[in-house]
Amino acid sequence: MFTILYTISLVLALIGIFGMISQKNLIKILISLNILETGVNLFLVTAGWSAEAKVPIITGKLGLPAAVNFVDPLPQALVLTSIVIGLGITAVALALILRYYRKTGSLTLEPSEFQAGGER
Amino acid sequence: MNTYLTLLIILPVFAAFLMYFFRKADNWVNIAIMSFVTLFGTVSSLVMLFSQGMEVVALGGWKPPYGIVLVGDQLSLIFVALIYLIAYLIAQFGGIERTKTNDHKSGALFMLLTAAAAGMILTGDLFNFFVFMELAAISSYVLIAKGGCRSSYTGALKYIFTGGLASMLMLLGIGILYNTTGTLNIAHLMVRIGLVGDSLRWLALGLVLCGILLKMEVFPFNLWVPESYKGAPAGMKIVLGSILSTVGGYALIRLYPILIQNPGLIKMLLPLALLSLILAELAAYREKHINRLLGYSSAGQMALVMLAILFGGRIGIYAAIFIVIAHAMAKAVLFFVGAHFKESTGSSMWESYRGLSKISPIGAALFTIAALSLTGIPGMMGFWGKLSMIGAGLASAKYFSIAIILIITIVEGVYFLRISGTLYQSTESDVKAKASYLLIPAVILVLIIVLVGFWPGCISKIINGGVSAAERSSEYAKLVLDYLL
Amino acid sequence: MISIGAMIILAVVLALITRVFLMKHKLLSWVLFSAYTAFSVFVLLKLYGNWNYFETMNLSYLVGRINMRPGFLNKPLGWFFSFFVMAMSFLNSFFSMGFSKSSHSRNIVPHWLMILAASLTVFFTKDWLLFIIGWETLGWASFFIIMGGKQKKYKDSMSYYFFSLVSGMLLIAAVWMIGIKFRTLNIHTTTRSMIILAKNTPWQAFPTLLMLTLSFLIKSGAYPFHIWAPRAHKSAPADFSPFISGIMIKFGIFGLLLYVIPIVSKGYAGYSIFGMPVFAWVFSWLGIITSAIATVLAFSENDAKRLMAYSSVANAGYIITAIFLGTALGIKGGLLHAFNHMIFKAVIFMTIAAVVYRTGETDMNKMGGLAYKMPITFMTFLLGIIAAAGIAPMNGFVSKWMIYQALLGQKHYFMTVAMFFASTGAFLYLYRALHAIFLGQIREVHEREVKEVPFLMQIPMWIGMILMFGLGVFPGYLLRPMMPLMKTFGSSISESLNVVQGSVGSLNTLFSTVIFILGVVIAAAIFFLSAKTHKTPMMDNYTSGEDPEEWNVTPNKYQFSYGFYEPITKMFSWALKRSVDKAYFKASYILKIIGREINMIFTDHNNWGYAALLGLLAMIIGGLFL
Repeated sequence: MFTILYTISLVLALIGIFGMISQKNLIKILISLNILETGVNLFLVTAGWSAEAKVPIITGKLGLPAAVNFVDPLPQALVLTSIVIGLGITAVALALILRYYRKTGSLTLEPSEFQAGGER
Repeated sequence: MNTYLTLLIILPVFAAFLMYFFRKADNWVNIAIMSFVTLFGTVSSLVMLFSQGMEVVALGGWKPPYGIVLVGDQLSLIFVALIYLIAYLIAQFGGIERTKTNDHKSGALFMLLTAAAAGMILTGDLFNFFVFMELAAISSYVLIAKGGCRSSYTGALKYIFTGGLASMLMLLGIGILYNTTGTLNIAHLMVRIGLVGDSLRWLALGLVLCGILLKMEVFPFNLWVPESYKGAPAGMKIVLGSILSTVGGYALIRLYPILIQNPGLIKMLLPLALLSLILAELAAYREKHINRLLGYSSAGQMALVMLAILFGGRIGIYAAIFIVIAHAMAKAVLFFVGAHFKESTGSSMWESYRGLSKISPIGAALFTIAALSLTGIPGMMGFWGKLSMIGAGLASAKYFSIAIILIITIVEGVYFLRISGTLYQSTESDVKAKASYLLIPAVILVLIIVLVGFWPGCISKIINGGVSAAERSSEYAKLVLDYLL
Repeated sequence: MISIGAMIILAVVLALITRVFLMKHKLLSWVLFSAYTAFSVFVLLKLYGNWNYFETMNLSYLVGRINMRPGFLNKPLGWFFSFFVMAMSFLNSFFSMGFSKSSHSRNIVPHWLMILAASLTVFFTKDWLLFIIGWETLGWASFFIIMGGKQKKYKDSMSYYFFSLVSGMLLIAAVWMIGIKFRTLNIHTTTRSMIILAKNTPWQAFPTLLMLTLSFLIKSGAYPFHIWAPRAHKSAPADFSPFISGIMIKFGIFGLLLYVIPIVSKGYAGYSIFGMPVFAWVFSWLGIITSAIATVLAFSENDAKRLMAYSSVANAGYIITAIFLGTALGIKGGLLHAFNHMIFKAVIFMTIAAVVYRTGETDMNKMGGLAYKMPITFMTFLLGIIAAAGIAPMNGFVSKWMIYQALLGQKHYFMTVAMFFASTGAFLYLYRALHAIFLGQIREVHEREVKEVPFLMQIPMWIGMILMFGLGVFPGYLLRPMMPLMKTFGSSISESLNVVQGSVGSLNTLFSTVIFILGVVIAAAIFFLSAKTHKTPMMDNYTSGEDPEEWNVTPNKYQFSYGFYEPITKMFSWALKRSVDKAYFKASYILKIIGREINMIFTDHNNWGYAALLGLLAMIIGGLFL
């Protein structure tokens, strides 16, 4: 199970990297970035997961028995943070792509005018 | 004292929110808020630095390594003071163009960025570092795009994609590190990294370094550099060149004890840094647009810092800290003066600055001094960094790298003095000096540069403290983790 | 007694004052400059004989692990060089005061003062750190003087700055090698340690020595680094060229004598050839090659300043050869020639500056016949080139004679022959300069406008003439004070006023002067006693009786010295074709192309950078499977 999850997460990450490098369209690059992000998040969650372990929520009833096996909660906290950050970046990037499209009428990064005029 | 350390991060964030309520007010209110916060940060970090108080603050009362800590030791306080000083100069003297973009939105973002940069330096936790890095990154994406021209958007988009990729790789690396060592506390990592197997350690550290190399503008991660530097508003250029790259340099210095436990990685990074140095400086040699040129030069200088750290040893770290500080100051001067020139002539191509020394003699002199300092000419601050760095390289018998560095220094000297020479060529023009207030911060920084250039003793004690803090990982670990006991 | 450190700080402060406050008052700043140099000469004279006078600065520097307090030490070698720097600057200041034209740059004084401060630092420092600081300051300060705020001079000044940076970088690397090896940066103790090291394990000393030597040779303009010399001389303000030629070229010689020569001559135990270490032998030959090539290049030169710059390079070549011989006589000859060259070449450049002052030209094809208009300048120039060619009663003769003696004494016959060739060539091109500028047909414009330079500018010329002649007749006046200096190189001969000891004989300069004067008297007698001369207008005699109109020649178009040495130039065209200049240009061009291509990586949205990124990732991930 671990192997499958790790493999899936790494494959997702590699797909994302491949997409970011091979694609020209800005939206597609952004989607690739999101795929990469998903892969990395999955990896993090997998790292803390364990099949036999319990949900790491400590209720009053449970008390704190010494040998209770919890899933590590830290990766999940990390992933939550990372998802939020990913959302923020996606939003900013989409806004910028929109502005870029309005300015240039294009959705690909053209090679900038090399030294020609060079002004703003 | 403990509260100060937290305030250094909290206060700018608070100011950012405060600015929203003053959005209808005049511009000077924003400037007042920003300069008060940054000045407070500068003064309090300097006070802490000179009182030699090493502080460890466990946030929320969670003890390390379980909770997040803020570590204010000699090394991190130097850098916090440095970035706050530069942030103060930007905020007070309107490096961000006063009229247009210095509204409450830019100001708030700038404050967030300052908080994030301070957080990246002060934090003792790798994941927290990542969060602050993303915070800084998001604000800087928007601030670059505030330039409003085509290359602003191009630069910002390139930065987003490269930055997103690099930070995701870093997150992956952090995940692997956590998975293998069970901790994210940097001090704890220094102790435990030896437990990880060779190849996995290589992979995890390599991935973590991706994020830091992005901030340091090292080669495969610096494709966004020229466009962003060209398109960003004036103040943001200084932030990019003097604050963000400084933070990158700091992070690499901080991770030095972890790095040296991994000789294979150092062997791999050395050619990368050399390649980055060569590419950046040769690109700058041919460049005609001043801001792009300065961007390339930043990348080159940061590659030098990386080389100095990789050379290692006390003297290597000393050189790295010195170069980072000298570069941050000189680059801020160059951007301030460059903005002044741009306002005066209306052009960003340095060839059109011919004869500006007649119109703005102080500006030309400041530009020359800062340029000479970056080259590493004696009498300026940069000299001591470069001198120590060559010593570090020769002491660790890296002769090939030293040869490359010397050659590249010559290239650097030529292209910088070429611009200075252009400034001093006489010509007839009816240009008038505008926006001369931009020279005030440059004068302040140049005074520091020259003072340290002639008398490095005045800061070498502090820097040596920083070197000790960076190099003696056991002491750092003890400082942070003793809290546990 | 005033300290050396205070003198240096005074120079820097004066530089700041003149730069900031006195930009509008050119004459006042020159007066300040003059006063400073006079004062320094005075202080230095008081320091003479007070050898091993020592002072430490109240600063401490941390270089690596070496914690040091920089300081100054009065050694004869440094004293002599700084004395000449200050004295020549003092003489030059009179010239510059008179030179004050509107086009004369205001930037000269502050930067020149920086150069003086830097040179005092270099000459008196006891540790390598201050040496580096002074050495690199020379570079940018000279850059701004040479450029003088003119766009067209930028390239030439940049070539100077480039070579000075190269020299500085080599120096830093070498100094670190020394520092790492010996754990100290003191010049004098490291010299002793280096001698021991070179004796025992020459291969460990070799890289350091090589880097230092190259660094110093670049500053002296030795082949293949000579290309900065003609450019810098040509572009420098006319009154700064004497300083470049007289002093700046000698910094390299000073460095060699300070560190390299003692080690090579005393203790270097590497392979040896013809009784001297291969290291020294190679650089001796390099000196001769430098002078030969500079001579050939000077033949085809039409610009007076460039021609004299090549002459300076050739002279630096002689000096390098002489000092690398390592014998006491060779070092003495080299040093004497260095000081003599300071005097006569400075004087020659002053006369050229005087010509520039009046005519605004340095192109020799546009001059001629100025001797009638500027007699004093002509006399000075004549005596100067006699000295430069090494002819009897002048000071250049004595030192050249000593160098030949040193070469013959060590039985380096090939070197002697090669040097004879260069020396003869020097005679040819110097005469050509004399002819083209001062003799022959005067141009109509010059006929009308040119007159002798003002008295203020004549002062240094008169003094220069007296010095050249006086030191030629009585070299003892310079050799006697030099005795403590020669003692440091292991020679304790006491000098007499007019007899110079060589290796195979001795030279009585008074005797040769008498002969020379006798010759002049006889020639004058023949001239005055022979048939009466009558003056003809010049246009009458240069087409051999043909009507000039038919040949379409007018006074302005005619220039006697045009294509003066064409046969000789043709003879050496094979050498000129493969000039080093072209190689440098090619290299700079290639660098630009590479820069453009790299720019493309960053600018074009192509896949290069991403390929590199992938490569990096592959390396990181690949590490997993190692």
